[in-house]
Amino acid sequence: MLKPMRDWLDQRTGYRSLLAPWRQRVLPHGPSWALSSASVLLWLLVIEVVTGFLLMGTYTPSTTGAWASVLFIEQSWAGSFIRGVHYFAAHAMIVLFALHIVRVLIAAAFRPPRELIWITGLLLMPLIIGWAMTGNPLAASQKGMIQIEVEGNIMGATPVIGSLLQRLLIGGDEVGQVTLTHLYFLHVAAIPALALLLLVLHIQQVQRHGITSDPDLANASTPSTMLPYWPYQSARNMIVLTIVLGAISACAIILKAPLEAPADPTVPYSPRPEWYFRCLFELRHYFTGQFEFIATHVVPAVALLVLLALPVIDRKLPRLPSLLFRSTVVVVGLASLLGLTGISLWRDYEDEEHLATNRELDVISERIRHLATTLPMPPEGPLELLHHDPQIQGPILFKRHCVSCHSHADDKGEGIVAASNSAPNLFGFGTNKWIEGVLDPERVKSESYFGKTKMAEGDMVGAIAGHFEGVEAADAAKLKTEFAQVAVALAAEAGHVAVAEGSSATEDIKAGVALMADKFGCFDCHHFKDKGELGSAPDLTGYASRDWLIGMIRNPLHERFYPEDHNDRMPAFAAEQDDSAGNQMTRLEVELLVDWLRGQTSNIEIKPKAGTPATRTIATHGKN
Amino acid sequence: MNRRSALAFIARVCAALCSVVIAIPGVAYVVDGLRRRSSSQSTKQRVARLMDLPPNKPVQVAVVGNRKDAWMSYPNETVGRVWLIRRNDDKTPANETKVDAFTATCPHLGCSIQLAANQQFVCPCHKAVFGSDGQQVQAAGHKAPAPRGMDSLECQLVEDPQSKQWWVEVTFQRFQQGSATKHPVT
Repeated sequence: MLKPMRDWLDQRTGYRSLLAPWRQRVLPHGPSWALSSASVLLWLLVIEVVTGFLLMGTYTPSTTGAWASVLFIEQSWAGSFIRGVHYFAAHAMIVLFALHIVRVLIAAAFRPPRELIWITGLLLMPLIIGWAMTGNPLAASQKGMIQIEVEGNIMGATPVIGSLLQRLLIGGDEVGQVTLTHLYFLHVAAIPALALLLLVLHIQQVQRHGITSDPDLANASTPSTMLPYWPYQSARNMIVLTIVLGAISACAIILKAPLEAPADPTVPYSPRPEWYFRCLFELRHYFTGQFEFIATHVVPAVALLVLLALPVIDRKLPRLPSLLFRSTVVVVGLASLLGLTGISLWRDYEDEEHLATNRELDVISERIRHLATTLPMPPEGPLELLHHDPQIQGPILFKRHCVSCHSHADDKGEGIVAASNSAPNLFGFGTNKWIEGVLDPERVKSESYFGKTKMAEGDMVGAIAGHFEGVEAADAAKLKTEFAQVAVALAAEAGHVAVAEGSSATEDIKAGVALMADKFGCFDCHHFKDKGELGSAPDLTGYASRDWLIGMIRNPLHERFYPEDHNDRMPAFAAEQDDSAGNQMTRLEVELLVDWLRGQTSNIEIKPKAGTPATRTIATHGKN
Repeated sequence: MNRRSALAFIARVCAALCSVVIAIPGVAYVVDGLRRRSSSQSTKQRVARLMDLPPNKPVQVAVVGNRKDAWMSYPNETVGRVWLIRRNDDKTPANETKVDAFTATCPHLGCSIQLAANQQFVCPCHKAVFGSDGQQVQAAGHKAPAPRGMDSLECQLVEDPQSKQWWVEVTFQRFQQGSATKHPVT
């Protein structure tokens, strides 16, 4: 059915005679699987271009839009697959390129008159890596943006022209909007154009001089190897391509192309280069300080120069030394690449801190992707969501401001653990479970509560111990149930216990308040609604509520909390007016920290900027 | 089937397989845009106070809403413009007053309809002319370009329970351009 159409096309264009030299070409040693590397590389490049063009139809190179546009692509199965193929095919190309070079080295296919095939091919290698390097940061994710910043700085360390090149790439002093546009330009226009030029020359040379294999067998062709390229070599090429593309597709579906949290200095991250730079990254361990440039510049430059000069060096060598020399280049090259990469990966595998930091990034990345798919994306970009989410910001702020004294760790000790617990563990602060600990004579003295503070010698610890002193076991158990009721009453102040009419908690709350007033004499020191006075112990009205905690963190010296010498070492984080320069934390930061401490992470409220008419309230679980 | 044609067959099948693996998701990715719908449903909102509308004189007001553009969401943006015409003079009681509302988007190709000096509506793009009743006016020597008259919108007067002021409440909608009848954009 197709034949008449092909005939028609051939009569007009003569495409068959154009393809004939390629199809009928006879390979010197017959078809082989190893020879498919070049063809598979070329087809992978075609796949990269096709998928790249498709992605260009949606992607937006702007610092506020890039990440969101990539997520937009990821939201359809087809977009996710296309991006996955684009991502993994790039990695596959770099691997195949290395194998291709090894094969050519072994076959000595760079000998005259094939020097230009060798040179154009070798120059394509750094170009392909540059192509991948400029693609990685385009999603404006934490990993990609830090990588390009480091790569820019390495470039800047190049003698003479370094800082000039760096400024050109970055488009200013800092990585930003122009950097992203420059990278996009390099990725979709400049590098493709250069690659096309080299590729056309490379292929033209291959056609002119033919593919070689080992020169010693050049004249050994037997009739059984006198087979045309089509279909004997083509079938092998296509089978290998199908296997490679199958593996790439599987990666795209199962692993998916990564999309880390959008780039932001507050997001924890322990940066590492892509795997193909791991060997150089490792090399820096051996060339430190002023010798660092040996690892970053001299070694890669020398390696490339040795390979480029191979046709010249090889020509001067007799047959056996040439074989030895080429074998040495392959063995030493591969061994050092694999060895250094392996050592570097092993270092990371052993580096608990590095792994922990990147586990944190994984959690944040998943959270921000969840937020960005369920909430409307503000025009200011995904960072607006990231900066207003207590679940993301809470641990970051806790680690920045609180962890020098407080832990935030559950019963199993998991969570954020202070190097030295010198203040209460705030995990579940304000819940009845936490408050029960304060009302327990042993636990209140422990490290998890007041053990390492001056309150360990204070009235509260003394009073609790007093209630239990000389009490029989049976009465102690009764006391515990009474204190549990007190804990429920206080947790209700925090808003952690639902106060519904007729719920069992309502009875406990009533009983708890009565016990505090009469039996335990709490209000002798503490203020509670209309009872007791402020100034000698923390206010129990609205204890551990959002307002209470905000006030406490802003200024623990306020009369509601621990005025004057009642305070131990708790600093005032925002004692002055909102967002004045003297405060250690902004109003928003205190609120985010408190919301996270209280476990209320389901609501985000984005406050309008000056001039915006209304407040936008966004519920996490409501679809827009 | 000899070895040669078997290999040719394998080569073609593999090539077709690889093409399909890219082509099917590629097409699905491109047509995915057809699946995405604009989120701007019809919004009912107060657009003007009755006391601010002069009798029989068209006034343009903006409809403010949440505009969704691909992945971005813009709260409180102008999502459309509406022409209001108060049909009675200010001596008529508010509950007997009639106000008409027309969307300012031309039913021809979607340009913004303006008000000419003679109190007729004119679309600047292809000179479609509409009367104050929204119907297209046939100008001499000029074939009327719009397929239908201006699109009227549901419009009612409501009294604010607190301020006791009367407001014009409009249900804003978009309509498809180019057809003789009015179809809401869904």
